[in-house]
Amino acid sequence: MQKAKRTRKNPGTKKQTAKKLRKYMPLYLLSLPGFIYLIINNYLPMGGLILAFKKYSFAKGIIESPWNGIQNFTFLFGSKWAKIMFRNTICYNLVFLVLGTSFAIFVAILLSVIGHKLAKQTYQTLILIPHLVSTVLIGYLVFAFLSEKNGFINNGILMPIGAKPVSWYTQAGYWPVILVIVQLWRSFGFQSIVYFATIIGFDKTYYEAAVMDGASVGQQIFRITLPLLKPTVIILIIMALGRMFASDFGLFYQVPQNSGLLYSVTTTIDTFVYRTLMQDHDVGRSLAAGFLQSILGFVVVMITNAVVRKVDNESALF
Amino acid sequence: MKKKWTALFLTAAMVISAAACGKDSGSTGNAGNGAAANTAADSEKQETDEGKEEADKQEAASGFVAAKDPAEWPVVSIMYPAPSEFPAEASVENALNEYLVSINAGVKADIVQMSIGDLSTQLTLALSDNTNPLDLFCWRFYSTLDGCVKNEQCISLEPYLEEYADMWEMFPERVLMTQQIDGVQYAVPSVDSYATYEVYMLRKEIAEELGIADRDGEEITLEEMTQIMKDAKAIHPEYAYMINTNDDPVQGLDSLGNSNWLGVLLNRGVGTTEIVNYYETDEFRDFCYLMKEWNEAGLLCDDPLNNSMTIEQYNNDVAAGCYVGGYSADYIKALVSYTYDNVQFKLTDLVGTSASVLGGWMISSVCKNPDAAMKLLYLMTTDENVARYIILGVEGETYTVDEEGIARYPEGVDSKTSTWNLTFPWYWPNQCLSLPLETDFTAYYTDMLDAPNHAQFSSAMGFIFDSTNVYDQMAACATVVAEYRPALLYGLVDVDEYLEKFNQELKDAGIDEIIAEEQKQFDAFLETLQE
Repeated sequence: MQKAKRTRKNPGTKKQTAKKLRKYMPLYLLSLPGFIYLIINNYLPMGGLILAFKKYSFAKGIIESPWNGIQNFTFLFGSKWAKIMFRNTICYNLVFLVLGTSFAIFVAILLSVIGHKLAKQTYQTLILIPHLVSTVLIGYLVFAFLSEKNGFINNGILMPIGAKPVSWYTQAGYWPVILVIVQLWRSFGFQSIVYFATIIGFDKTYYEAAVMDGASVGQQIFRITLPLLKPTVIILIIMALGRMFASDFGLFYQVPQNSGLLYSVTTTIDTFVYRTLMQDHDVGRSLAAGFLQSILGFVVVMITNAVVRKVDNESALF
Repeated sequence: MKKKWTALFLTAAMVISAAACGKDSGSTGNAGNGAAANTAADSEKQETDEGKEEADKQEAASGFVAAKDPAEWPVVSIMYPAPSEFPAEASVENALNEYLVSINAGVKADIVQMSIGDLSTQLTLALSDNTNPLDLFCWRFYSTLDGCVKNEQCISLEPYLEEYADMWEMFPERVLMTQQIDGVQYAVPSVDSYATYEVYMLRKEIAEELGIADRDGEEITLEEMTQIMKDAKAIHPEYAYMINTNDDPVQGLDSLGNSNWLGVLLNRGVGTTEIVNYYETDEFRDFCYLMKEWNEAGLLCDDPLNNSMTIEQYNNDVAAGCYVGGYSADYIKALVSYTYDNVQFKLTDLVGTSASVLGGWMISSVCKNPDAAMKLLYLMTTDENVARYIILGVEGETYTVDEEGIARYPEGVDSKTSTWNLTFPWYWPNQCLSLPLETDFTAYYTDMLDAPNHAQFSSAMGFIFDSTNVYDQMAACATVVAEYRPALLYGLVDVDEYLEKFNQELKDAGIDEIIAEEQKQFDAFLETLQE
């Protein structure tokens, strides 16, 4: 802080700034396309958010369309679905966050202790593949397992052992588990690569010193790896919390194949909005839903960050 | 220093290549819309707009009049639904425009291809694009009349009622009313039979084995049909015998245009004006029991909730029977002539409802020259040549005509390799001006025009429900219907248990308020009719 004050008083500041700018110019230029992309795709469209409070008329356009208060929001809250979709969206996200993060860290640590280079690379590639498969395809992979008449689980497991086949797509009770498994299967690879990249960046001397002191592998993990990993975990969690009110449409729509009887456990804000507005092309209502999700996500991020800052200032995102 | 310069150079290269990419994709985008000629057409349009405005001012009082020089004519863009891009666009457009010049139409056409799978996005964007507006579009496959009017995506056609009176007179009054909101005409209905009946279609060889092939065309009840399906299953267990069980006419419904059946008229609206909650009726309960029976007898397709329940299952040899609808036995035979030979059993009477009018053509609210757009829409609906250019393309190039007056694909070409989309005649304002395609049924279109004379009509034909007051209830009920109905209609769950839950949740979501509102508006509609 003192240093900053001194710099500000220094008459040569401008010159220094210009010098710095010149020095880092190539880096700034390098980031320019990214900035332009961000501005065009992430900031300019925010102007359109005013449509969440308007009755959009294709004839009148964004500016001229009449205001209609919060009417665009009411359809989200007018029925039993309000409770269900908020519950599902938040609970699934929490479960994904807790299980996904723990599992990813677990796998990252496993990867980090593998010595054989080729094995390490092979595992890294293999666990990444599910992340690259499209959700529609995952929907059909799941269907291949769960089809009532032709699926692997009914035909290959349940019937040979004499159990009754299950009509998976009409029994809502199984789906929270199925969806969590599918989500973990497809996301753990990518997440663990992020943690793994952090782990291999840790200073090796900590571990060497620990080994010298006779620390076991478990002690190394719990005393060195996990504490060093904490800031990364917190950043990723805060970022995930920003999406707490959004859901992966593919996972909740394509994977259960939009089966009606599963709605009580597969309806999230996104799938409800899609089903409700699919035919209407109602720009205002769709935007209202998205707007609400973003605002709630923003609030959660701010609160979480404030809490983190209070508890452990170093680890806070901002 | 060297590193810095390298970095600078790399950055510059990246920025330039990114810009180049943008430019590239922009131009591909244009070509992707099938509008390579668009750019030329646009500049032509801009130039001609000014001249046209002059002409308009001069002739405003006497309707649309052509400017003297065809080069100054306004260009009207027409959406063209295409499963994939059709390469004949430029030649069809040229031929059509040459014809328009020859009749001194005063307007030219620009066909804009839109991918049918992505219609929702493409059309929504096109209808909000003021700089490069789309002028003529059809709500079919995209939205509803009500939806387009509410979003102000189209304009009123009232100013053109007098000028194009001969076109409006082609349609029965009740049919025109299906394209009106509050008495205001917003669209030109697509010419059709306006009434259909349902048949049960069964593969011919199976009917022959069962000894019922000679009953082709006979009217049967659902009980008799159930027995036929069960008998067929006994000799050919490898097939399913029903695909989509979610069929309004078979259940005798006029759904008032709402596929969720939130308030319907029974008996397809013939002789009744009472809107009821179908899901609460004994008819629905009995139908659910019947579906349960069908499912347990193995008559339905496997995993109906996970597969697309369309006629494709019949074409692909999964099901050997299904429902088909049409205005006459010959027409239905022609419709399905491309697939397996079959016999058909009639299930319902020939009845028309608002839902029988399957599409309507509108002028978009971003259209800069509605008079010109209306003139072209009029020609598409009334001029045989214009209709044929759009529906069939250029004779000798995209189709040929045999001595029976039937349109055929050119030699060596079929529907998959055709350079123009000949399979969507019903999408256009007047398919009856074109020629039947690849069929032996020469009276395909003449019989279609005659069909309404033999049909009964729902008392709600022409009634369009305005859902504004119960929007939230309809949104909630739609989700409840999607939750329970498919499982009930495919016989997958216990009828009593689920039907009770279904009805309770519909009530909680406000179905009674919806029906009360519908009845109120419908009564007002009936009163207006009497006046």
